[in-house]
Amino acid sequence: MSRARPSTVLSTIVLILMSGLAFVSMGAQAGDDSPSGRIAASNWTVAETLVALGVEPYAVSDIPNYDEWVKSPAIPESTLDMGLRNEPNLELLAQNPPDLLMTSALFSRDNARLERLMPVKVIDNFYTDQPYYEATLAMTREIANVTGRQSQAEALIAETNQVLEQAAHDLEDAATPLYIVQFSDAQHVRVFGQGNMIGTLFSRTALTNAWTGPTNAWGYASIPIDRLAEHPEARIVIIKPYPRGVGDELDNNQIWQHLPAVREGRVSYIDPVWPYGGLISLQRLARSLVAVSTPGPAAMEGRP
Amino acid sequence: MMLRAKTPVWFAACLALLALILGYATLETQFADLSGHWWQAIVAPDDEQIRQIVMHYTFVPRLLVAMLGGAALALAGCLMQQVLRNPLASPATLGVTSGAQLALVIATLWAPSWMLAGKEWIALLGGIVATLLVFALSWKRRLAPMVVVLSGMVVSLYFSAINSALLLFHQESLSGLFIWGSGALSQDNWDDTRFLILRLAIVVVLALLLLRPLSLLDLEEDGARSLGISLRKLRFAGLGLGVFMTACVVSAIGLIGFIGLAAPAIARLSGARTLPQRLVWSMIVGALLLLVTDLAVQQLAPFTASLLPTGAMTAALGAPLLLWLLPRLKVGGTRPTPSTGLTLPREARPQRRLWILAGLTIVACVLALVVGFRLDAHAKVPSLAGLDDLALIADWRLPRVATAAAAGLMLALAGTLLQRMTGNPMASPEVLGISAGVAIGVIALMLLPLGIAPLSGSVMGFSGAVVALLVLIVCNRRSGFAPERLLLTGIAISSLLDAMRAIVLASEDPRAQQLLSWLGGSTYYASLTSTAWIVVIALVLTLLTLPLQRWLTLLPLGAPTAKALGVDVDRSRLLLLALVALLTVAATLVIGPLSFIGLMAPHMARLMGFHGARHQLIGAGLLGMLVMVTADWLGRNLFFPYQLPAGLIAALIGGVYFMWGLRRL
Repeated sequence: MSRARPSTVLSTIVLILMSGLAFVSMGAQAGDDSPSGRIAASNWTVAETLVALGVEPYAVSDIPNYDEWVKSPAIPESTLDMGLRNEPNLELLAQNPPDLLMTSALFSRDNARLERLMPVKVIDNFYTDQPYYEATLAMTREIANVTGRQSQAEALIAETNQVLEQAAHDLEDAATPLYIVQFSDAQHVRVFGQGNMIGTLFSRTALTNAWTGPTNAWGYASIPIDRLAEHPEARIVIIKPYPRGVGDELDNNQIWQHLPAVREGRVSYIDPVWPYGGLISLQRLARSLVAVSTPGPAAMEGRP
Repeated sequence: MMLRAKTPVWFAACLALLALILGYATLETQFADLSGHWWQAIVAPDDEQIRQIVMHYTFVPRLLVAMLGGAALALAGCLMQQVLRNPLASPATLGVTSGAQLALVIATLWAPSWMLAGKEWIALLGGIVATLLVFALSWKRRLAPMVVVLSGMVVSLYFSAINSALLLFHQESLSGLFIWGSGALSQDNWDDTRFLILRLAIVVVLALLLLRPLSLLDLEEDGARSLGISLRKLRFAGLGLGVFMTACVVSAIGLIGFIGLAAPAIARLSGARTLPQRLVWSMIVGALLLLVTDLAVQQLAPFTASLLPTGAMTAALGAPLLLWLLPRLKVGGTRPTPSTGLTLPREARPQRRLWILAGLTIVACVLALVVGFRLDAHAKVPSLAGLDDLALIADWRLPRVATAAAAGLMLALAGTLLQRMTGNPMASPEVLGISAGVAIGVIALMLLPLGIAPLSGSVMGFSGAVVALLVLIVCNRRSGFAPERLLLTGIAISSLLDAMRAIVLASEDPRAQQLLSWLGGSTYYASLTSTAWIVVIALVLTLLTLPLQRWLTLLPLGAPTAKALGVDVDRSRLLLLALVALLTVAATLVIGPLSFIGLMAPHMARLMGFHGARHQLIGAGLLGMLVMVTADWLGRNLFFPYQLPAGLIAALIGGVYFMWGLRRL
């Protein structure tokens, strides 16, 4: 008689689980009379742009890593951290849903489900048909339209154009091609090309990119450092930070030590900047590049 | 039977010729400008000529390191296979590689100053810790082959789980370790070459000293013991050498998994019989295999924007080779003797335990629904949900809890079916390669720029599973789905997934994090609709599985016995296989391919004394649900608002229990 019992138990458990489905119809309808303009952003580039336009985001993803990799502008204290970028915490958002979730194409797999909680808008400066700069301008204007910050956006764009023009002026005589790289480990770098803000800077100024090889959808290629010798005359600009331990390993790296740029002191370092970011990141990168490209500062200055 | 292949010479000669052609091609394409100065660049490069420096410090050491690494891994694999008398044994099986990787990740994050002391030593430490753990777990069983391999796989899965969790949170800081982890052989000085050559020489000398006693392991266990050999010491020494060699390779050039398994197998298949022959030919084949792969990778490098890591490419190329080799591999005779099998306690009153388990599972489900974090102004406080939170629970917690439970149930059932069908405690849906097939399909979809409907994820996953299943059937039809061959086929398919995963991670694609999260088994994307479907599917498949207990009781007795008792062995195996496939596909599509539950739950059920087929099925199913639901709750709340995938946590919980149970054996 006891033989049937375990399976009964099993079915009972599953039935209990299933009975929860009865609550479906009661669905979430919170957030009816919450204050307007509370925006959550899962993409750092959007978060950066929101802050730059003077909007205080309601929630942003992975703030500790934002502080390390994007750095500026700083996310306000009052902004909620909503977890990893590709998985904004829905239990958290559901308790007091924002009026809008801005997400990027990279992090959206099932937006229809999120839309039951709050309006969702895919805003991105990648995954578009436009080149980086035009796409970023469009993204900035789109965010401005949604948040009613059109004048701030135009001001930011004007300021960025001015920074770019100033950079073009300052870099007029920069004839030496350069590699802009970020270290992955002591043997490999990401070298940047067309398709992100570095490509924009190369096309808007007299700077020439020493890297002419293929790049991926985010505008970089992962290469071993010996390929930085393909253009022996080039300068090398390194975006900080070094991954941990790399600095010491480079001292023992015979290729690095023998690269013409290293031997002849044509290596410079610039502060961390998010190469896939928005206009503020672009401005910071432009200023940093001008600072290390114009005569004066010692090349090896600022080594991490 | 193969017509040629009396000796491995021909195979090795073909590989060597291929290596020469590829090597020359690489010289011609990448160092054409140095033409005529090649020898000078190798021996005495001109310090002012960067091209000569590059050739001197990258091309030449890379060639040597590839050969040394391949030979060393093959030697390690050969030693391990001899000691464990199991053609499935390889450096990865013992957890050495994942132990080494975990040690490096931890050191990178929390003790970067240790890295200055030399990262090979940290990797070595991790590898040794993993091996000691494996030895500790199998010590009471006198390091019996099956128990060692089982412990090794558990330790390996456990460390990889911790590893993945850390990578999820620190992707940007650890990107370099992805490259190392996938076995990029890039060199920038001669240090690795010197490091490897010295250690390989030492290990070869020690292995030669052990040659005679190790050869005697070919005899049956009792025979060897009657010759006065201390089996425990001999195994310890043999395994120790293999582990040391592996740790050296891993620390110098990263994870290169396939060579240690394939080279000894190829050597044996192509005619190396005695242990000395197998050692020598394994090393030669291993060296040439890695060299050819690396040269091919270097030929491809200029055409892509992402790194092609050699270690991962070896696995990608090696998997089809292994599949081709399978029908030609004699594994039947190497099954462990009964003395090494697992004997388990039998519970007198399994019914009561089942009820207790069921009660626990219900409590866990309710708690997982009710307990969570509340947002109070800007603070996040843990609290019980009240009646007014029904919407929150139904919308955002129920789907995840129910999906976790359904997936846990299905994986546990699949694992039980598989272990009983094959009579092999290492069997699990993951080992069979079906979850890997599903994952390969989904990754392919993620990477291909196809803007198809959202449903296509399941379509691609299902196609992957069907392809994996077809491969399984095609490769195993002739042998009547013999258990060992089935497992080997599965391992070959899984290694393809590992290769794809490593290549994606090393390419530094920003989508890697998404991939990691899915591979870890996250319930994040569970919706009420998908949950309803998955629960119904789980129920139907469970009902289909329960009546099969007669087969499940008789099949473990062996094919002849089962046949004598009136079971159509081939047909029942095929049907069970289909059922396992369905269970695995359904579970993997919602919760990713990390099916640690499929390995754990049946074992836990047996350790708890559920010995009969029916009791084990139900017990394992309940345990699978219990562990998965608990894991999902922990994953959602441990680091709120950051979430860890349920599969990962399940591996961490299940692993501890499993190691404890293994220790008690």
